[in-house]
Amino acid sequence: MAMRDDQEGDVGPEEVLDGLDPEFLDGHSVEELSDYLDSGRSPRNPDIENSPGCLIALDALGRLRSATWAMLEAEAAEDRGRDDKWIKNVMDNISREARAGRDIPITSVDPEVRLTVTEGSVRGLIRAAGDGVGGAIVGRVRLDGDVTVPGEPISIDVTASGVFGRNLLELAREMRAVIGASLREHTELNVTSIDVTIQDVHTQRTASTEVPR
Amino acid sequence: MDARSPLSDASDGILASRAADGDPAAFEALMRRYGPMLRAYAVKVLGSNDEADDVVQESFINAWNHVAELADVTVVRSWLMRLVSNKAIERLRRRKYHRDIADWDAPGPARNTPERQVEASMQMRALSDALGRLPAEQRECWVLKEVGGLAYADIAEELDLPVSTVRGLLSRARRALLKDMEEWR
Amino acid sequence: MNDLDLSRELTTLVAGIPGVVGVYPAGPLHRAVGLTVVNVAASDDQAPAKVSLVRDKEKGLRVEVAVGVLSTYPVPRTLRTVGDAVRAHLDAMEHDGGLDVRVTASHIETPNPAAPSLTP
Repeated sequence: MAMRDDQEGDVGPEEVLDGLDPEFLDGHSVEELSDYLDSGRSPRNPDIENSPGCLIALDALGRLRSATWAMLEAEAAEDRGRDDKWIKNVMDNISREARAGRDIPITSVDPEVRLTVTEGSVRGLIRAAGDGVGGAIVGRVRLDGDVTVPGEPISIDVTASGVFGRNLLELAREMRAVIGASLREHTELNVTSIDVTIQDVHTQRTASTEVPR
Repeated sequence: MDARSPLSDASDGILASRAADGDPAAFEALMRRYGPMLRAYAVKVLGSNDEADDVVQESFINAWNHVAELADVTVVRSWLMRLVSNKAIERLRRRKYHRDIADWDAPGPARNTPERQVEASMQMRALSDALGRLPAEQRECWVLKEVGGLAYADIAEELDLPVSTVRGLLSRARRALLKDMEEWR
Repeated sequence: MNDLDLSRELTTLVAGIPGVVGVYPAGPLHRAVGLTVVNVAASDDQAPAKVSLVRDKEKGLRVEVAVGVLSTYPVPRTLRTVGDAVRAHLDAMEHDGGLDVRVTASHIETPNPAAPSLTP
């Protein structure tokens, strides 16, 4: 590939940036300063931190970086109206079967008919039950134990986020209650425990206008 | 799900956990949250809107298939950036077979429709234009490094360039952009 | 009646059962080797044939149904209704050998989940 490997050689005299050449940077190069910035200015390099020239260059590099992110944010914001088509495209192309998990048996009186619910569908049931508690958003759901064998003891482990200001102990208790009730109604699992861990607190960024029912 | 779904309040970690469990609604919320940003990033790397669309969509399909393997669900944003970087690099590599580096012009920012209300400040527009003026390889390297967070060695390996060349390209890009930025002040 | 038509009939039958919101292409059986498997993909222009039928000389007819169900009804009850309906439909027809009907709920839909409370 016909590409020159020199770092600074092609900068013509008119392009020389006052203040960004090593002579103004007390012997440090802009690249070195960029790497230093990447490292979060840690460990602290007193040689750089005490050089006015370097500090000016670091400031410029930092501004360039934040301007870049701001530019992307602004362009992303301009773009939000476009969302739906590409999102639908992706949603149509993802496979939902991959997450079906284990088959959980349901009693059938007819020996020639076997009934099951997938583990994935039970996870969805638990999410819907937990989300139905005001101020809760369910995260990960785990069914511990051999769910494929009827009567085996199963413990349910759920992580969740609670809305800011809500009593989290109470929230977890309500979630446990509705999840338990839902599992009793819709499955035959022998649920021996339901653990709800509130690992996050969220605010209502997009305050819904819907009234809770 | 509409944009005001309660899920849009949830943290990245919660959404990624749900997506890993197979919840399409949570995955959709993640797409709404990061899709536009990732697309803007891909446009900057590739200099092309159409390819950026493909890259972002492919990356999200990839993300759905692998989100369950993500060890730390709280780093989902940088993980998505990495997936987009990888897909964009695939495109760049393919493109290199077809282009002579001497005569390939980076397309300018393709979203300059006059009727569109541009919310970006003049400065961001100036930066966007400055990026668009960079030679393609400088722009690619610079965006992959500064936005995508790729290391010099990774960029060099992925784009089949010597590390010294990547350093040189980055150095020139940085200078050009800093110089432009000084003029905004 | 061929198996494709039978699959269509069963799909329509199951889709009409209260509590069922969808009938999905069933099971990994599509990939079974050496068995006659209804090709559900070949039916775009007609009523969908989502129910999988596998005929095996020794084991008889195996029917696999994957459904989405509503949580407004107890899921086990809906599944039993589906199983009974499929069973009754097949019993009304001739079939040799054994019968093995599998009904799976692969999605449980909770209609209109409550909006999150605005009061913390």
